[in-house]
Amino acid sequence: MRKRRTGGRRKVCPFLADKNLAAQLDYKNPELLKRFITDRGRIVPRRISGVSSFYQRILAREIKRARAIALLPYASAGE
Amino acid sequence: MYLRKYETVAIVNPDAGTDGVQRVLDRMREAITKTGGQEARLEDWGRRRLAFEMAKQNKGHYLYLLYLGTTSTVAELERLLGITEEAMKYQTVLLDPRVKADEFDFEKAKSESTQHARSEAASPLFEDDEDESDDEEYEEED
Repeated sequence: MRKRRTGGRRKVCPFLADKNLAAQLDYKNPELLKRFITDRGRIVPRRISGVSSFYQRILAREIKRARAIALLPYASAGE
Repeated sequence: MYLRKYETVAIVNPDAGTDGVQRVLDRMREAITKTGGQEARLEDWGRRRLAFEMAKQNKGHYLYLLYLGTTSTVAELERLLGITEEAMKYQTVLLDPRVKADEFDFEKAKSESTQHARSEAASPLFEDDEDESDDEEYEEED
C-alpha cells in the first residue's frame, strides 16, 4: 500500500514563486547556487528542495558551469 | 550580418601578475579582432578564492569578456588560451546564437555588469614574482 504524505505542507518551487530570483539563476551568481548544494558540494535533489523540474534542470546546468570555473566545488570524495 | 553572442571567463594564474593578466587579455582580444568579432564588455573580477585547488593555486585572477563573434572566434580564442601558460582555465558560454551585429546595442551591453565587476579585488595590482607557472590545465563546457 502506498503511503500518503502525512502532515507538512507541499513545498513550493522558489523560482516559480519569485520571477526575480529565477532571473538571477546564473553560474556567475554562486551565492544563490550555494543554497542548492550540500556542504559536500552535491546538488540537492528536488524532492528535498522543492524546485520544479524546469528550474532544477537550469539550476543543475548553472551549478555545473560554476564548478567548471571554480566558483563552486565539485563534490568532495568519500562519505 | 549575424553574429553569435558569447561570454568567456578566463582564470589567470595569480603568480603571473599584472603582466600575465594583460597577456591573457591581449590573446583574447587578438582572437576576436582576427576573426571579425566585436568586443562588447570586459570585466575584471580580480583575484578570487578558487572553490578548489588548481595548478597548485588557491586563488585565481578572473577575467570576463562579453563579445560577438562566430564559431571560429571561439575556436581561435580557446586555442590561444590553451597555449597561454598564464591561463589556468576558461569557459565560454553561448548566450545568443543569432544577433544582428549592426543593431546590437553596445552601449547598453557596456553599461550593464555582473555583480563581480564591482568586486573589492578588482584592481589587479599585486606584487609580481618571477616564478613561472608550470602546469596548465584547460577545460571547457559548451
